[in-house]
Amino acid sequence: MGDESPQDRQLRELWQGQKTEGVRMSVAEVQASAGKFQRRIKGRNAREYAAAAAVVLFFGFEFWQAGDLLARIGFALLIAGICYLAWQLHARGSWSPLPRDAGLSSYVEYKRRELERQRDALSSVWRWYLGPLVPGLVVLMLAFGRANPGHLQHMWLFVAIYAAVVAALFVGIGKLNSAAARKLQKEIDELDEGGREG
Amino acid sequence: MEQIQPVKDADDRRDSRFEEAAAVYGPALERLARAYEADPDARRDLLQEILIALWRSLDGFDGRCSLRTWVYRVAHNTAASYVTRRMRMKKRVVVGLEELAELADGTEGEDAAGQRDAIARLYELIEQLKPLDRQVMVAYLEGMDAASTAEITGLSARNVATKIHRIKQILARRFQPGRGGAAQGLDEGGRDGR
Repeated sequence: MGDESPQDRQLRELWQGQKTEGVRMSVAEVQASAGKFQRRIKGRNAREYAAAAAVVLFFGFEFWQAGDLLARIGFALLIAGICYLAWQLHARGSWSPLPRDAGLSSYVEYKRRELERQRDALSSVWRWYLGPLVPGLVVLMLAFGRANPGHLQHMWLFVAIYAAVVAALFVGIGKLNSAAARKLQKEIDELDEGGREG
Repeated sequence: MEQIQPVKDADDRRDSRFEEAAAVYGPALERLARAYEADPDARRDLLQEILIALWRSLDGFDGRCSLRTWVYRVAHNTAASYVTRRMRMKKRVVVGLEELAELADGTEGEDAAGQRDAIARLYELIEQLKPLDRQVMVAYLEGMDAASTAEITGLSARNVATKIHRIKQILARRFQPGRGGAAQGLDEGGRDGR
């Protein structure tokens, strides 16, 4: 910083000389806090598992109650889809402590990895979030239509409208996620630009 | 027993490195935390988060970079993640150095702003910046050279130089002598009695 003006120097001295609180943490205190942090993560995981288990229990009860084989297949597929989704949500969870090798990565590298992870999750939302629920929902709709032969014409119309609403919702979610993924890609491109020489 | 001793040695090494880092860079980490979080209670939490991340990370410290670079990388990466989380909650708008240079600084009308001290105004400036530009600004104020800043941020040396040039322009415009509070703040806290 050879071209430093007296004013620059004054500002930097002012910055570096400012009064700090002198917050100190001993190794023992850090260890205790890290343990608390780990327990918070475990607690969050437990809550996620409990929520998934409650949904599975609900559909498990419906599975057990359903007399129709097709409906049972539908509920079984839905339960499998929810289990897969819950596992994916857990595996892709963004709230995690900083990796142990954080000091090896510059901000650009660290942030790029984080953005890529989020972008990939958003752009593949059909594969891991929406897709796994589709087979169960489709089979359940068919089972629902088939189980009401007395009002077949209207029932199929109802099923068709219901299917169209669900499909529109899924397509909407998919499009929103794709837009968000494109936004993240723009951020990645900006980071790459910053890291490029010349 | 032979396997336990090396683990204990590694833990001891990590703990002593942590104590060294906390002693040497503690005040700088406090300033860094303040650059990312204005609220005193939340700032203490952030500083704690940084220290925990630092302690955990020192397991992997292998001397490929200096301890200072390591400490600042961990601190900035932790703080930037923190800011991203907070922004998601508060929907706070942050800008780049380019936009900040274009923004009116609110002291054109002098007096009220003129009473604030330079440090508070510096923090206000920093809070408006995107994490990457914030890092460059903090590194500049901490007296780091462009090469060290590039190593910590991952920006190219040329881009760091460009950003530092912009920072100097912004600071010169907002803290020029004779402009009420900025000059007053500098004079009050200045070391070389200009």
